[in-house]
Amino acid sequence: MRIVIAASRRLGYFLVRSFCSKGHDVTLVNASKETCTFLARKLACLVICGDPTDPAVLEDAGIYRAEAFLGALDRDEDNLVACQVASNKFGVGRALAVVSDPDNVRSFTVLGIEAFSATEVVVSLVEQRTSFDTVTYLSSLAEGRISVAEIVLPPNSPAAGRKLRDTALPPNALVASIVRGDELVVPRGETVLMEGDKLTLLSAPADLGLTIRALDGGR
Amino acid sequence: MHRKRNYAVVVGCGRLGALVANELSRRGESVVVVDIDPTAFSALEQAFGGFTIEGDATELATLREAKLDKATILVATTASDNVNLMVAQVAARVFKVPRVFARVMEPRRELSFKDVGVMAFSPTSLAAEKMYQAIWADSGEEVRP
Repeated sequence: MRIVIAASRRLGYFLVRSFCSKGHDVTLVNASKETCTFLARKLACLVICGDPTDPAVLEDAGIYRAEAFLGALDRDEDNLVACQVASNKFGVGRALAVVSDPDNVRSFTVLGIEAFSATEVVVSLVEQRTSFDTVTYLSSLAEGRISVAEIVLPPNSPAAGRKLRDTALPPNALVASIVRGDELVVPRGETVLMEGDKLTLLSAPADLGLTIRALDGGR
Repeated sequence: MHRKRNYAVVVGCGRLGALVANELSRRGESVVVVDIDPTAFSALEQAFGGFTIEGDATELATLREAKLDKATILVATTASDNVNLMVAQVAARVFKVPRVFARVMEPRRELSFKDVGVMAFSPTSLAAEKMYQAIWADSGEEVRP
């Protein structure tokens, strides 16, 4: 895939390296002469020095042949404008913007640019990596309105041996699936929970703590 | 007939922003001025009757704090064309502000603003236009910007 990337020095270096290692054809655009000289020396790709929000510069970067454009500069507004030029002026198939302010994901979408929040990615990665013995935080859905977690029912669980409907789960929590050994059990009110069951939980972020406590007894 | 008061948000309290904010206030409009640098508000005159908000206008939370959803006018006059372009669009398309104006320094960017339906003013282009008219006023040549 031919990609044009507008990125800051640090991010640009690692992004290009990653894309190139996967066989993509990358061109990097950056406004600083020093950064471009530095990166051109270290990277095998084409580096264009110039303002990535300037159509003439994107043209030099081969935007006409590009299948995707990534705006990964430090400032959200620069990524927005660069992506809009790439998309509106040059008709690039995919123009993606990285944003720091998670609220801008929705704004950018309204403005016609696909965006994702670096902040949210990092936050959810930290949460995922924070797993206690029995609980793993998996992700968040619907722009943070739903938390997803996985829990293995410990031996002393207050829920073990009880029907799902008889547990102390908060009303807004859902047990989406149960993996028991090799088997997938679709939970219903009647389902009896057992020690060792791996449950996938969905709930509002504020209720997740309560949900987990209902199942692991709150160690 | 009493004209309904505007609620204007001015983003960027530099020379132009302060000038516009002062004038809006003088004419009895409700004004809120946003700037990332609190010392910028010293450019507002003594009699300025509006509010000020210190914050980064590229953060949605700042625009919400300025109650942009209630605004009838948005003026984007920061030092950065890209910030102005972003704030203007977010104001028009996300907050549905009916009248949005932006200052753009780089004349070539005027087209980008036009593409997204924002009324842009380039001091550079405007000054050049006036100068051409003055330079060739007597020549009888048609002066086109």
